Amino acid sequence: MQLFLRILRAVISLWLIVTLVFVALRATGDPITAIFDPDNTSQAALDSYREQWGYTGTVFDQYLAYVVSLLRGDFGYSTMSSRPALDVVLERLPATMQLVGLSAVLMIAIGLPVGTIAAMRAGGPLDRFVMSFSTIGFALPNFVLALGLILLFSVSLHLLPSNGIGSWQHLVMPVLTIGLSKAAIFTRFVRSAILDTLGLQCVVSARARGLTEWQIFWRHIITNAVLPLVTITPLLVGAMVAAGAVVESVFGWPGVGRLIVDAVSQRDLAVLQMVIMLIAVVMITTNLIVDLAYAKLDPRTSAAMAH
Amino acid sequence: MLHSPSDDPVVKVENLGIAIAASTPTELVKDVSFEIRRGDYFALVGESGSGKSLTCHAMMKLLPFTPLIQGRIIIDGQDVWSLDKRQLLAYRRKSVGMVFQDPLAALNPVRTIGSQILETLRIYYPHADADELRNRAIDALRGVHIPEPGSRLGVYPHQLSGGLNQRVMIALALLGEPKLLIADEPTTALDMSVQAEVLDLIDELRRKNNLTVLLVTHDLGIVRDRATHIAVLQNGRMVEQGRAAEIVSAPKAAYSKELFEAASVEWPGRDTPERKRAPACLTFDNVNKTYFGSKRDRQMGVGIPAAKSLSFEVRRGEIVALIGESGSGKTTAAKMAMGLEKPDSGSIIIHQSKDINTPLKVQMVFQHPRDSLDPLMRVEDQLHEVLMVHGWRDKAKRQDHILKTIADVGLLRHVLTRRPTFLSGGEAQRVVIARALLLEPDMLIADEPLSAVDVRIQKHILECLQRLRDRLGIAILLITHDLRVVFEIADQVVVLRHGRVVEDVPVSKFTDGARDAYTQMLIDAVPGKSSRAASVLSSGFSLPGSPALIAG
Amino acid sequence: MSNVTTARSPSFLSQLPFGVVLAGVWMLGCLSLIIVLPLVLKLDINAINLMARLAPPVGFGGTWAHPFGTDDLGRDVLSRLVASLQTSLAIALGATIISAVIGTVIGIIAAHMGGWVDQIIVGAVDAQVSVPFIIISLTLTAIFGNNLTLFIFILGLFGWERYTRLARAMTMASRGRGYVLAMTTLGFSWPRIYLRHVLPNIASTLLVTATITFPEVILLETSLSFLGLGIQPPMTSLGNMLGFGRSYLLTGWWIAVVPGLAIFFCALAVSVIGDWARSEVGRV
Repeated sequence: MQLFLRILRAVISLWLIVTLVFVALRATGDPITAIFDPDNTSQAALDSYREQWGYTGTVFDQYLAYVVSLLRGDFGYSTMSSRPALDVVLERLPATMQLVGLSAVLMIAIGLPVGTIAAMRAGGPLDRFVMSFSTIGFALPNFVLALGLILLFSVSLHLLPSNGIGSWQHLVMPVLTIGLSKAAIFTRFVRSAILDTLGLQCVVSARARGLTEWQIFWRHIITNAVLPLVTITPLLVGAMVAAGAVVESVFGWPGVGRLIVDAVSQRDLAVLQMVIMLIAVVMITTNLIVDLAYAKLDPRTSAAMAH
Repeated sequence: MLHSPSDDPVVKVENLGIAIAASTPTELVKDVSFEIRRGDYFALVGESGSGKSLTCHAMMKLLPFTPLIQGRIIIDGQDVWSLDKRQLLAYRRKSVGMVFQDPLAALNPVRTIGSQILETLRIYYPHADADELRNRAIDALRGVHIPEPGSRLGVYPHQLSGGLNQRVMIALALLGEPKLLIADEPTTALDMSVQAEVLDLIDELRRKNNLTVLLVTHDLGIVRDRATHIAVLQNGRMVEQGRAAEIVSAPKAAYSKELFEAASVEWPGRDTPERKRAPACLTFDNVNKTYFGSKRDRQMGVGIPAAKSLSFEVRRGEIVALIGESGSGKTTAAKMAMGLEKPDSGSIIIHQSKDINTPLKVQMVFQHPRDSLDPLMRVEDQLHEVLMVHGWRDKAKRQDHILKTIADVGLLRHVLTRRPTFLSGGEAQRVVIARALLLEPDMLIADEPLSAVDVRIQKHILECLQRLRDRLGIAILLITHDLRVVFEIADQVVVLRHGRVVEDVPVSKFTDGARDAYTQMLIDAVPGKSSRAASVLSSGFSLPGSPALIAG
Repeated sequence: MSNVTTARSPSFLSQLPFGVVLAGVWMLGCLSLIIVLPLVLKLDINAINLMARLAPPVGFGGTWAHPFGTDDLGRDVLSRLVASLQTSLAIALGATIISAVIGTVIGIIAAHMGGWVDQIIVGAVDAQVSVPFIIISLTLTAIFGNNLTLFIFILGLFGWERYTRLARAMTMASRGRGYVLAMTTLGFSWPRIYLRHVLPNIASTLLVTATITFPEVILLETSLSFLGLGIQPPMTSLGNMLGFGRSYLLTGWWIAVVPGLAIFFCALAVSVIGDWARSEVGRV
């Protein structure tokens, strides 16, 4: 029952996004006249475009046609490059995935151990140091960090290329920018997740039974602390894709993020719509899977599902 | 009996002081000393905040903060706070076992019972193979009388009842065969009938294994029945200690006297063997209500029945106690009476008053007094608001009415300007009652009005309710799980089980060899019954229904 | 339920963590700068002075005529900074208030109505969570074009889902609380219960969320302006100053560094205050 509701909610989310995109696209008025100058284009050409883009009939007909075309995998043509929007987005995907993947690894590699240690020494000098860094990392905008790295590594030290793609050197600064900024947030989450479990009664009772701190950590603290982290991690990874919009633009990295910025300045709505749908589908599915996995990790929620 | 006083005590606490380390240390426990000898059943008693729980956590070196410790705790020959890490582990493994208040929280919710027993067993039998460990785990569960122990190993804590979980905790605590068992409010989170079972189990294990038991509790009933020694704490200081029999029969310190008096239970003593012939004020007529977890459950008809052909009535000017354990449907009945829930079938009638043809007015008093007041608003403003909502425009009139009402519940004027956070539990509950009285109800529904307040304050609230009945003629439907409350003030008792009425009698006849087995069990579970038997014998009172103390 | 002293004694200030005091001083400094300085000096952010192009700040060979130097068109960086601070902070504040109000109202509605209304609102929250907001705001900019009102409104959508979630969860929780139950049995109307009792009780948590969202709105606004998709010339904001300054990293680093530091310290100050507020609320 709970499972069914959860899936239903995922479907509602997707449908809401599709509908909102449709509404937003239509809200500007007749998109055909926005794209073409009606004075200089023949009526026949306008009509054929209307036909091709599905802009005929009432708004509701258009909406249906729109949903049907999406379901058929037809996402329209990019006005920038006159190619299917799907292709335009897909070809940018590998570069972004490389960037996001490495950044995620960096984020977890920093956040897990540092957050854990900070929590175990909560209130101590190390913890305060880590927390200050985390606050600073949170407040430091990506583009400031990126420009700072360029000033340091490219302008002053001449160590790394500031722009482009190709070698591992090109990856260093973008990955550092995204990875570090998200690590600042992730560390905080890890710290508070661990801190919350440290005070649990079951940890106290495990200690009373004479388990070693090592056993308590792995069997009682981690098993409980992992639960909130499972929910937050995919959201942070999703936010990395968004951070790409700025970071990829600064470093001239040809990924989805830069594509978005280009599409906005050229008003290429098909590409933007494609990007939103893609991200929405991936994120909503991931969240669904995470929730299901959560039920596996936390027997209490599966009990709630059974009831 | 088994008391063979050996020379060195198992526990020796000397001038213990616990304070929170800060620039200005807050003293929580001061100058507490006691000794527990082998085989003793030592009860540490006090109200919330008395420092009893802190003391026993300090005995395990398990305080939730970094404390300043004064004095010494010597247990099983070891000075607990001067042990190094490895010695501390060995001490916790071999010398003491500890049981906590909430068994569900004390077990890791995301791991099975079995894995938590096995990990502890592995400490004691590092070389045992999987089969041997499993057998030992099953033995341990069997030792605490858990039915079908083999099938419980793969189960998660939330799938077991509170009583079973507490048994698991006891089994875990005793795996290392410790000399001392510390039980910190082990039954507070449990239903009354289960409480007795768990306490019986501790008694049995104590006898069987020659265990020394330190029981921390606020419930004097438990102490009277089972402990050999009692120590009373108040505000972090030892008020009185000694042999249980002596303290129970003649407490010396004023505070312990007050505690014991407040907790003592009077047999129904009013001369009202028959029920009053007053007009009815609330009638439940054949009411049914079932909760369903989901739509599918509803279709299949598998639900949790909260009311099954529920019929009873409350008459004007009487106190009807609705009793039952958690899940018996008593709170649902209250909510239906208030119209917060709708019955599936049957009718709930609030009768009309005789002279004017308007329905009688019913108001409710809730379980947690502080929680049922808006924490941000001053008491006065909240009371004014109630009247304002009901159309009292004139501020002076409102003020008069409020002052009159708080006097009725025995409150002083100064509480009006306070916010709920600054009220004591008793004051808050009386404010809640006053708020209900503002609208001049003919009947109050009180849902567990005493369970969230300390024993001494319970007495005051009961007196307050009694006064309302006697002076204002207000009928009260009193929902409670505590039979002692029933004996104290109720006129009529309705016992619920699984949504059914199993007993509906005047309180004077209630204990008169209760007809229903379940009711009998509830009566038997009342702490104090064993010493009552003793006192009844010695004092010659053999007629239930005559005014005698349950104990003491 | 600790003992909350009602009177904030003089020692209250000295009990504040040092970082919070610094953050407060910084924010007050910024506020007085953007309020007082325009009264004292005549700031013309678009005054081009080609004779004084790329003048360095004081301490790096510059003069007090342009304390923070000038940009590629000889415009005074300090004047532009003050104007940018005005725009950025005002926009962030407006957007935060808008999203807090919208989100809270939606959350309370969801909690009160329940059923399919609740399901749809929760679905919308999920949808919002799954698509990073910057992408949505970029798309909306692309569709509707650039204009200030719209820009503020778009930013005003940022974070609505957090308030909705919190308000929904806390309203649902408070419906189970004794005081709400008690008030329904005393005949209070729902609007009265929500507005006079529930809202004040959940307000502190919502306010803390606002202090945490506020720096993010600053960062979002500056990011969009940095990309050239937010505030447009002749107006100026911190992000768009930095965006223009980016091309002069080699010849006039201060053009980018000055607004960059301003963004950083503002976001830092508000999040330090927000963190502190959160721990204080948690403690009470």
